[in-house]
Amino acid sequence: MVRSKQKTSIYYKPYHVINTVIEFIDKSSDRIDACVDYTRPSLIFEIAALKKAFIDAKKRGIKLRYVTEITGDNVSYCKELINTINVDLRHVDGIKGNFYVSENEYVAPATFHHKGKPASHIIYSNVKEIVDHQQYVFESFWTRAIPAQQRIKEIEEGVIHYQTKIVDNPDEIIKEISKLTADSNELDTCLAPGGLQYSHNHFFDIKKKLLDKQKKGQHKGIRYITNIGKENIQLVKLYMEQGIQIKHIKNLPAMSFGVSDKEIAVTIENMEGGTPIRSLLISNEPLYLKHFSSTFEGLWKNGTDVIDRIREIEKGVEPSDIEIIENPREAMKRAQQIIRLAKHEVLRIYPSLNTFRRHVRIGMIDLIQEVLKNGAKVRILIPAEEDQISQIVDEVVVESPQLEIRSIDKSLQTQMGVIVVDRKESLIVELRDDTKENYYDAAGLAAYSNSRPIALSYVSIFESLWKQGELYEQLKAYNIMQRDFINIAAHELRTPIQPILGLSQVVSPRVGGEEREHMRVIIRNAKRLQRLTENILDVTKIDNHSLKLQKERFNLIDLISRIVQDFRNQIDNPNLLLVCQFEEKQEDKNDLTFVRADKSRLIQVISNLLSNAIKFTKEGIISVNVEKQVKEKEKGIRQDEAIITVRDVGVGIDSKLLDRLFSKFATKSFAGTGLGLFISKSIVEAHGGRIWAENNSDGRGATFIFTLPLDKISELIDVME
Amino acid sequence: MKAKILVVDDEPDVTYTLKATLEAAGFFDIYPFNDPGLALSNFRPNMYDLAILDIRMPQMNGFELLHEIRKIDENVKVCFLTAVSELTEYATAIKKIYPPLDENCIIKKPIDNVELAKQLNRILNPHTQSG
Repeated sequence: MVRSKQKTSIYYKPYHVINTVIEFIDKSSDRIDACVDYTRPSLIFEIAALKKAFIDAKKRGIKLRYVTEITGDNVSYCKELINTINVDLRHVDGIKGNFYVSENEYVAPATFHHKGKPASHIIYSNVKEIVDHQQYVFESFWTRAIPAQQRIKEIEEGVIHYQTKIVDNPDEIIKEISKLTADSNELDTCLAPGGLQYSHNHFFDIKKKLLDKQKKGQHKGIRYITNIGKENIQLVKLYMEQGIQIKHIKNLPAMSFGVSDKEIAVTIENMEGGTPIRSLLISNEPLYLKHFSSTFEGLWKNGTDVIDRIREIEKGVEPSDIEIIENPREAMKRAQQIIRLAKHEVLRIYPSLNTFRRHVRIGMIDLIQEVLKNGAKVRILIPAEEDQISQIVDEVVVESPQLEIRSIDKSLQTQMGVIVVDRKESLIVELRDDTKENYYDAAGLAAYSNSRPIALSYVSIFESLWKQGELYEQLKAYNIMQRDFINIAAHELRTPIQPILGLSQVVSPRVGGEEREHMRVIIRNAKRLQRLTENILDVTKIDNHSLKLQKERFNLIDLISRIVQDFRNQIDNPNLLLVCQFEEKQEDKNDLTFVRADKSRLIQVISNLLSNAIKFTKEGIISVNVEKQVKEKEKGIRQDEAIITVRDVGVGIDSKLLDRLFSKFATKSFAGTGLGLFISKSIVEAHGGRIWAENNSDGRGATFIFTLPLDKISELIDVME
Repeated sequence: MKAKILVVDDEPDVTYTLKATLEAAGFFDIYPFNDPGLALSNFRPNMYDLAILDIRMPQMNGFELLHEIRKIDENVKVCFLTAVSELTEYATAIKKIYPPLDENCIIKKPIDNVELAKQLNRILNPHTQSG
């Protein structure tokens, strides 16, 4: 066969179109493959020349394959195509576009045509590449198409053809939903709050018809689930009056959907204020139907009855709600949201100073300024030192009388941040890791609540901490004042004693007889006054917790030997003997008794015990001893201590006094202040030791005992030596 | 030879007492001042063996006075005689500022005459004293 010259042309006018197709059919010698839309099968039977061309081709033994969309409208023509022309026919859903391809040629009538009329123009080509290409296109459709017999059977038996599609034209969407609504025998809808307005705008009339059908027993009814609030309450009432069932759900699913007994329609748009839907998924797949219908039933079961909800809204009662927020980002968003909407007051307790810093980094100050601008007051508590707070305030916060930041004692640092807005809403955020730089890494779970009682209980915690901060400040100021007072009082009390004591001592040796005795009394009392002054100052320091130790390392045995020697030199009672027992023991190494302590304070303790012993012993031996005791403080940790005893053979301790011997003003002596043992006890305990007293078992005198922790370094030196 | 001692204390009764008691012992000549400013303006190098300074004085405290005195005479021995409370804290502070001064440079007021004379001797003649 001679190949005609290769060309691709377009022919206009229906006459040319028909002729081109007929010529194409006539010229084919092996096969004709056609791919056409649902309007074309009828055309073969309406245009006689076309029908004849097909029949002739069949007679020549040409193979005819034909793909189209078989619908209820064209099914009879399709059957005729099979029966009279013996076409091999297959079906593809929604196919559009027409073309025919033979072994050598390709024709494509234009798609834009009226149903039952030929196209207005046609493309013809015998260019081999184009013909081959179109053959591939055809084969693609052919392999995906279903046999005509199967499709025809479905249509004749009324089998539903399942499909899922996206509609993205707002007008088409309204049509689809109207169809879904009108076709339904029952209808359930779950809508974003704004969706009610959209639904009312477009489908209310259809729904009224359904409700009429329902009254006649032809429809199972319409149910709605939405978040009922002030903004949609009027529509809800209108729907209710019409006989639509409605329930309220606070936390709606992320999408709105309608489900009938036949179809579902889903959108993720919120239709705020009745905005049209721009994208809708429609499906009649049974799995989708089942899924959405059971989702709806689940929501319906937990929904609040519309009457109750309307009552809540009209009374102005918001039902309380507690929500756990797991994602720190969400928690942050919620925090910003509720703070931004504050009308009167924002109270905030930070779990730590670091948390505050992290919040500053993510723009918390701007938020606060916004809130202040709206006229709300902001109070913030941060566990930190006062000067740290003032530094931060200077750095980042704009001064405003509505904004107050206070420090709370660090001991009140918690693992929870608290936000209370308008004494109504609260958000508690867990602090998971304070060392993290990033807010999101540091924060943990959060709990939001709009319950007023919960908010108020946090308010009361806040207020008491707020007040505590105030008291804490006052207490600190008071302590400073008291310390100043002690220092001045000490100075003022001590200074006048110097002239009395000094001058009396100068005069005393120069006078004789009775006058010398007078001077002795003056000197004795000046010294007593001196002792009393020192004791009272010490007691004040102890009570004020400002007794400070200046610790140094020294040998306890050396110190005690020296003190005992000094006392020996002063004793004017020849019947008294002061003995250091440890001096007699050879095996006691001096370096075993090193302590870290305040030397002058220890001198005070030992002197006090010795003077007491001397005061209450008329004759006999007063013995001082130091021993070492190995003590296990905790399992495996050794803490050696020195035990210092002062044993006298005097009158012993009055049993009535024994219990409160170491408390203030416990004395039987007229010359004592009753403060010495109290001070000694405080000093010993400040060193981590203990002090106690007992009457001797032989009934003569008493023994005072105190302990001191030994310095560990002494053991090391011991080993090295 | 008697040691020449400068005494600066804002309390006239205290300076009077120190002069009376220390001179009575016969070893010291006491030059008392109640105004540290006046004491300073009369201060000359090598004038005194020892300066006894009060710490808390209204015009100029003892440490400031010491600072000024040291500018004039590096060698004069100094001790503080004071009734203030936080003695040990002062001692630590002084040691830091003037390392040559030891802990004995602070004498607590009131003090017995004999004890005071003993301590002053220890400061004036550190090498002749044992321990």
